[in-house]
Amino acid sequence: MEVPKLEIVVRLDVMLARRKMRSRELAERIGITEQNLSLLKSGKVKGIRFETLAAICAALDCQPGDILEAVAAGTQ
Amino acid sequence: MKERFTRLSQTLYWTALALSVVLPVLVLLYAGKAVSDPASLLSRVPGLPPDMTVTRSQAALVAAIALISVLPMLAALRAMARLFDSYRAGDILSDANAGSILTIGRALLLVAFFTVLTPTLQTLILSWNGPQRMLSIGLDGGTLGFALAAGLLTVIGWAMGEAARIKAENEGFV
Repeated sequence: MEVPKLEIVVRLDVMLARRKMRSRELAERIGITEQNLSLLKSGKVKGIRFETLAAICAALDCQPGDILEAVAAGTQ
Repeated sequence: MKERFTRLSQTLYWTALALSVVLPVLVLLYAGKAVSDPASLLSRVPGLPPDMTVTRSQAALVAAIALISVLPMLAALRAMARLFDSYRAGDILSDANAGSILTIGRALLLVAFFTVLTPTLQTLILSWNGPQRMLSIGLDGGTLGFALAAGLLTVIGWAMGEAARIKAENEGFV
């Protein structure tokens, strides 16, 4: 049985909108640059460190599953 | 630490650059002298009878070998200049620097090889018309140590390439 190919999509914009928080504020709170946060939002990074993920979850009061979603490859 | 690193790299950059200019000039002077005065070679190559006749074509061959054998050292010096230029600019762990270290290591391995081969060939050429042809191969501890250091640099070049790859991968994470 073939395993379906999935890719991880970052849904940070949705959580930021729900919490009514700007990217700049989040970047300041978690201690990364706005540029890196922008790269993360656009999915142009190879990965996210657990440390960064934990800081984002703490700042947005959410779970990793609220920010990351696995979708079929090529649908995004 | 960083300041000391930059300062030493600055000095080494200018040294490597100066040597890469001076060395070929010295070898060209040596080659020119050998061709214009073939007899002068007898005093420079040990073990040859002083009354031996050296032809101009023999001298030209000896000079050509000297010119060829300096090429690996020149390649090493140019790679050193590139590496130290990068270091003095603060760029330490990069793929290009790893490539430079690898080039230096390989070039110095060739230098060690030519250190053994060049005098052997030169002695053979100069003694070709003599009463007996000479083939003398010399390998001393210094040359062996040099070859070992060159091998070490080659391995370090590979390790630095791996480190640069890991660094680039790490930079892809936020």
